[in-house]
Amino acid sequence: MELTNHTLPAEHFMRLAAGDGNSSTLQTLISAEFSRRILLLRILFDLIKGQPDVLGPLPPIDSAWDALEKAELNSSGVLAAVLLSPQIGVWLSRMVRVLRTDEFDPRSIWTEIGYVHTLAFAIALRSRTDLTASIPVRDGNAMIPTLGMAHLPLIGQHVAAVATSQGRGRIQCAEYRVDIPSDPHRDGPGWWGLKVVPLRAEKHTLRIVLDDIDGYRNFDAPIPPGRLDEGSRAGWESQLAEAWEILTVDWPTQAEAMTAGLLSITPLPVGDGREIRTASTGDGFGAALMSSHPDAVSLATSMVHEFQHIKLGSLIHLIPLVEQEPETRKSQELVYAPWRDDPRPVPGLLQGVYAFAGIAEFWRRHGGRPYPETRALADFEFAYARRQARQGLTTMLASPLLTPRGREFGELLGRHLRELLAERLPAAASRAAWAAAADHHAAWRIRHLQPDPAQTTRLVNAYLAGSAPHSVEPVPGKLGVAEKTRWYQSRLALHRLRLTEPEEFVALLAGRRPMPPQALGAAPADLLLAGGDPTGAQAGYLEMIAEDPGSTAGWTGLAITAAALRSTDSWRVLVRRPELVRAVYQETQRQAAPSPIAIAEWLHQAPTAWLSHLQP
Amino acid sequence: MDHPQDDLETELIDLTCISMSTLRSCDPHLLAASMARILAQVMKPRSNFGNSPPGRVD
Repeated sequence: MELTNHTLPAEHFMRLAAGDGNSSTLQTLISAEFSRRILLLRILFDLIKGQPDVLGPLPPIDSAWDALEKAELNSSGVLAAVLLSPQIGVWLSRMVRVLRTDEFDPRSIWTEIGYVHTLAFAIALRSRTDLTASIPVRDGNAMIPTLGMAHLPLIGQHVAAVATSQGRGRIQCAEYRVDIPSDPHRDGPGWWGLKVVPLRAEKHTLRIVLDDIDGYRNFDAPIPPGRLDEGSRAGWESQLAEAWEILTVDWPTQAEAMTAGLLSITPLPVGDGREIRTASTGDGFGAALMSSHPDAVSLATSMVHEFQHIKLGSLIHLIPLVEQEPETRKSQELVYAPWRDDPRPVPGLLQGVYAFAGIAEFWRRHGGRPYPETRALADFEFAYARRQARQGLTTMLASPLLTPRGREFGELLGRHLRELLAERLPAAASRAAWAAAADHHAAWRIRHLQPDPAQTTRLVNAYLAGSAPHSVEPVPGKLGVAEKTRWYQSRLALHRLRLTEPEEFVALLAGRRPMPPQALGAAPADLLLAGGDPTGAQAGYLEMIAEDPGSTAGWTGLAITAAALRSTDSWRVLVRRPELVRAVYQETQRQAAPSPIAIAEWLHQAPTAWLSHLQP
Repeated sequence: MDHPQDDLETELIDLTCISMSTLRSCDPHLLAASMARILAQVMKPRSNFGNSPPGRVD
């Protein structure tokens, strides 16, 4: 038997590298994902054969495989559809990890491994193949993948007898029996149907699972079901419908691709209301976790964001873009990612660059709509996302860890980004995007780059002696976690508030409204800055530094107001080396009373080459 | 910069046309290279967790 490897048509590689990809591209990726899934199944089969006790009281693995072979004869399409379920991908990957590392509780692992029998039952049921089998039940719940969950008043681990005949299934456990409804996506006695939400707009229909029950919907160890109440489900469906309409109008090719490749959304529990949370995983192609969103546009953005990850993750399964070498110092190199609080490894940076290129493209298109009230926000988000993507890509392309294909991918993506960057935007949007990016980078440098302490002392001595800063030999700083704090987001939140709710913002400035949740912790100087008063804001930031010489918010605010006012050229060193200015100021302050700007102006005298030697 | 013209070779074996029966009895040596690659991916899983702008994270 001769087997060949999957190939990827150049056209699809280039579409993906441009941040896009149509339904044909996705079908190519999905074919590969199927090969991957059944290969994982074969790996799991071999692992279980090697340690059959892991199935506990359940029948041997051969009976599950026999059932799969039989069901395939009836419908290979059903076999593929169930195996391609994202949650099956998560389960398969987890089981392989667990068995290969022996990290499991032998008393209970059979309830997870035994899901292979449940998988066979689901495929048999859907393919109208007659089957009797035994499946695990945990705390009364038995998820039948892609269909729904039997929920029984039981606690602990049990074995259920299941049967399917002519497309109807039943589950019998202890004295309880559940007949799976003829439409398994509808609820019934002892049964929660897995909800599939059809989203129809323009020429595209997305049938997406809104998964609130599958144990593997959280991408990790199985979790109990979290059934949405009717109101919450209706809210999700309504907002998804709106978001889908936005996507089909603004980015039809992406929407078309999503009909094939965005398969399920798991609603995350409502958090503190301030942050949107989303996630995806390479183990579960097609799935995304999402918290509730304030509006349909932000939901559409998140759908684009996670879909970019889904596409790239699948491409990486086929073609490595970053070297897969053993964990060496080089492979553990961490770099700055413009969208993260913490330093990131290069593979993570690649994912972020790709996601933000997609976000930028979305906002570029969304900004083209004839709705002036949303234009200012769209312009800003487009300006900001493209800047973030470009900065991340520059760092990525400088990494020696890219494979030749990875470099090619990056260069093609760079070509697409240059097109985005060439689009003219209102100056206000571009300036605000620059300030947001500079703010984030400066804060990251303060939190993660530690200037050499001995050098700082020598610089202080040089300052006090009236010598030039470059009379001190430069010593690179260290990348580490100087401060375990998150990026101060209030400043940006206020800017967005000004764009999206201008009347609310005016009321906030006048003190007639409390600070909204997303901007809690904002300083008075931040309000002044967002309100267009950089002079007043800078005075406020100087006061913050006087009160707390290490104040990250104070230093980053000083940097961006200095850049806005251009009253001193030292804004450059405040923006690019804030950690150094801060360190020298903090130590100098113990002996003298310099102003932060005086320290910055002194350091600004140093040649660029000297400053570059300070990089870790 | 030259763009790729031909189909790109990948590291994943194409199993879309083989049956479960054939896969079951398939000589593992035929599958070894792809298995090794998949195992390397699976043993170091990647999840992308995002927060709201600007802290979206990957």
